[in-house]
Amino acid sequence: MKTLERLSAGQLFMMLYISRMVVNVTYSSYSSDVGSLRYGVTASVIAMVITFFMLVPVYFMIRTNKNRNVTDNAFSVFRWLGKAVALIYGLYFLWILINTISFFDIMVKNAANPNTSVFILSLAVVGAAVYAAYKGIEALGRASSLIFIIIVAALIVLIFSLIPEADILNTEPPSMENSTDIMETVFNAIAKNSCIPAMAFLLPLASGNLKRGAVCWAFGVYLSMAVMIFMITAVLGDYLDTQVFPVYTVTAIASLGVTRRLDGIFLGVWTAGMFVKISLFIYLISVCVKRIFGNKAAKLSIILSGAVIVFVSTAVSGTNGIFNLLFDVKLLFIFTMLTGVIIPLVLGVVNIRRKKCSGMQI
Amino acid sequence: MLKKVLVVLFMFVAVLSLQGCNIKQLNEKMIVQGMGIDFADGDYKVTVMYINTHNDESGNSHKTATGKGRTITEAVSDIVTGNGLEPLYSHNSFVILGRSLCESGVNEAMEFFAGYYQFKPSISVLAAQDSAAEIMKQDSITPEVITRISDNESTVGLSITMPLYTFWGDIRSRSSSACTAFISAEDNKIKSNGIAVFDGDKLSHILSSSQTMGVAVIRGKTDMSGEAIPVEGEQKSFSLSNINTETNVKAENGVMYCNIVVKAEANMYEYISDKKNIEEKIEKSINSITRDAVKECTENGSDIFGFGKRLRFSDKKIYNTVKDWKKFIKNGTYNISSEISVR
Repeated sequence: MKTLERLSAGQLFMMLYISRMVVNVTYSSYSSDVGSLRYGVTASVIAMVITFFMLVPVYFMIRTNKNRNVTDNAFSVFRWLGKAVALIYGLYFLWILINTISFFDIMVKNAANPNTSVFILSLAVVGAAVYAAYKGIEALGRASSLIFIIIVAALIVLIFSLIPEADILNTEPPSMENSTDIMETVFNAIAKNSCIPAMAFLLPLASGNLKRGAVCWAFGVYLSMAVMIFMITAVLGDYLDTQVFPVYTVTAIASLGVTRRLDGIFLGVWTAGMFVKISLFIYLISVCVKRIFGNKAAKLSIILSGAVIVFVSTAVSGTNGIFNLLFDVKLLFIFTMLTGVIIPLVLGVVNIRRKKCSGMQI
Repeated sequence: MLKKVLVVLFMFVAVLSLQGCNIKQLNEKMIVQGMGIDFADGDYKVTVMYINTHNDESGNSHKTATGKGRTITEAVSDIVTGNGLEPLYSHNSFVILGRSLCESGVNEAMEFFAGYYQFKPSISVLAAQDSAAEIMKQDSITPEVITRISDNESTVGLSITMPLYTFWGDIRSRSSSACTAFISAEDNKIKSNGIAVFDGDKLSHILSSSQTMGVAVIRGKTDMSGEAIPVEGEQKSFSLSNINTETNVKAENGVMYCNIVVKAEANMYEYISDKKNIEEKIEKSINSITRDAVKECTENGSDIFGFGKRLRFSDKKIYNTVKDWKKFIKNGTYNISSEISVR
């Protein structure tokens, strides 16, 4: 892999937008109460504000240590403990990947076609993603630009095709009366902010206005989420409570003129988004492995990660125990906060103290 | 060179193996276009309308088959045992609920359609005046005929047909009542006879054709440009377009107050000399049919107009305090007026 890879801020945040939207569309009753989507618009606004604050530690850490990523920074500060930090991030990204592809497999199997072999499906998507991860971050960035356009176009088509079916009376007026449901939705949204730990590795590789890019990313993600949730609740109404994957249900309702059953098209678009997320996170795992074991191990880890993801995600759908552990939102929240906020904040503070002690200017 | 060979090999494998086709041929599948469900003596009787993929003498584009069972799945299995075809439900466009099923409760049937992955959430739900099988087996009945009813083409009478997700959503709703088109088969023709209104998942009462018109005007979502409405006391009729109904709902001291104002343009079929006089008479006609519709529903404690949902929007605190929605609807005060301009 090249050491001086560069991508633009636009490419970076398009990749991260796609990664986040893939999570949003697989929202299901397996991880939370689908009925609480009724308060999703209010929750999206709150989650967006919290996300803006979550971005600060990562940006602060990178700016206080010569634009190095979190594992390089940890290694320079804590020496051998830096490897432990790389291990934590590597395992976190692996967990996110297994979680993401398991949800996607379950959605395809339960909502689209139960006869689908999830093993073959996972193998196909992960196989392509492994190849993309091997090609490097620049190639991923270029591919993401195209896929971003397709995904945004698909979202716009979905929203406009659902407008005739929407009834505003099906929605809940924004209020804080159902604060428990709202906070549960916020909690879920924040727990799934895996893009922020990813930024701890990717921001140093990007050139351009990163602050503006990060703000646009957070705003775009939560605006898309709020609009999608609004349309889902406006179209489905009380039918929402019976659906395991409500986003998939509304795509089955969407129609454009004589064209019906657009769910097949959207499934294809989402698969393209899955490809971007999986390849990006496999790449990040290899960066963590490189810090611990070196270059050769990093290249091998790309294929090994892919294999682990395929086998574990296939096994997850058949085993309740692992399923419950991997989909535990509370655990996910703890690790997202650890990798996205706590570790970068600690490193940022240590960076400043070291510079002050050595008399260097920040 | 190796990369090119691998790419070509992959393309070859993809073409041969990744089309997603099933082993079964089209003529080995029962491509279901519509289903009728009846219920009697604890058993479901399912009538399936499917595409005729065999080149037989009848020349019909579709066939029907009937099966019985304790559940709908069992009844369909009974059909499959008889004709040996694998059912494919993804082209199913409607389901007709027989009178007997509507009276005993449609929840279980709806769970089948809402839960099975092949059914679209947007399939049309209709209620039959008698048995669904009787309608399905009429020679002239085709999926296109049912689609015309669902799309409310006035050649078969005004109707309000609900998609599955709206119908079952209203059954599950705290405040709203489910409703859908009420149809019958007479002289080998499908006729729309009004609206079937449900209390929970059981049939409550039927609205007549004129009351259906009143519902359509208040809901404002139906194209009524083809419907001729008689003017009271005159040998004239009109149709309505650009219907815009404003409904305000509030609650005070445990009583709901609904104020409904129907605004529309009337298109006269005959020559008129006194426009203002005709407008007043048209408003009187509109008020009459809409009040009749609201009265019939509210006296039965049914809310098919979304009054409860509007109250949730305007005053959620009071909405949450209501325990008995039927009683709340029955005790409500409904004021209906209209503002019509003649074009």
